[in-house]
Amino acid sequence: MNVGSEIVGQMSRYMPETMARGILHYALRKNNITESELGNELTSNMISTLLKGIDLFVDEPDNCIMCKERLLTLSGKKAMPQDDVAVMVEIRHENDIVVARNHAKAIGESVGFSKADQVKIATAVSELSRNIVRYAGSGEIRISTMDAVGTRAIRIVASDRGPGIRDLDKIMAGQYRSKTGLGLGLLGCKRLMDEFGVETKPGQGTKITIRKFLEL
Amino acid sequence: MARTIPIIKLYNNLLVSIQVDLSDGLVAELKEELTSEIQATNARGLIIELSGIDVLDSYIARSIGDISSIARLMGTKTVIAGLDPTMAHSLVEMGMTLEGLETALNLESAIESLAAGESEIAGLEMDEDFLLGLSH
Repeated sequence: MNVGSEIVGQMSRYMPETMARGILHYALRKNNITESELGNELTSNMISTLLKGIDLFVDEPDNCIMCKERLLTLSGKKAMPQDDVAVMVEIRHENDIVVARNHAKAIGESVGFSKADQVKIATAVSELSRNIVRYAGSGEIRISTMDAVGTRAIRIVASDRGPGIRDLDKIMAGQYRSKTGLGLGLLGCKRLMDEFGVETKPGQGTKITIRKFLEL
Repeated sequence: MARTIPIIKLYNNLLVSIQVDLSDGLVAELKEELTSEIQATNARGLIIELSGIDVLDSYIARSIGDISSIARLMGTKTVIAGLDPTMAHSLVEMGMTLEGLETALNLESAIESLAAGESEIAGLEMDEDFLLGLSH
């Protein structure tokens, strides 16, 4: 089945079909593609414009959340088994930083985080993806949510095969400031989130995992 | 080439209101265009209005600090306006306090603040004249 009609089908569960079709066309126009060019998978740009479209056109925010989660699952061909919703953003260019943080914000909102927490999550993702572009050249950001009794969480994993981080201890102790600001970015990211873990090996790459919890 | 972020001249001040997602490239572009615009217009004040942006990370915050420092060296005072409280929280939590940057709650108070600065300078010049007058 064409992914375009699949999108409209899923969105129509939460809104009139004409509106769903309208939002799809809005997203297609924004991405400068036609429905036939959409192919079988959704790009991250397409997803983020669809989410934006929902925000712009739909009145009831409560219906939006479920509808957005549906769309995110649609794009979740790389879904991780233990988590509910997953999005992967490839980071190759500085514009991908914007895509990644917009995803983080939208997913944070769908989990139910406050506006302030959404901003913190998006800022943390912005820092991590920028580090990938600056220091590793390319990598990926994976965003997933976890739902457990009494708590929900958003998890972001930033990984690359770059040079690794030297002086990690110094950086995390706040004793190191690069001109480019790596120190502040990582430290800031840690301060903004509830959990922060780094695995890094010289010459092999870096994997940073961050989490923020939402008490229910 | 058309500007992504318009720079508006308002009396002696320049005004930029950022309403788009700020990519790193766009921030760098803005920095350059503001600098040349300050030179071209000889503006006394610069207002950077941020109510339209979602995220202010360390790079963007530092770049805005840079713009303000460059402007100061060129004799132009910068006021940041409309910073969303959630972003202010986030910045402080990260340990970025935007020190040395003048801020205002909204566009109106930013303009008032720049106008007050102007009259202070005018007042100072008057005092100097007065003092000079006394010494002669």
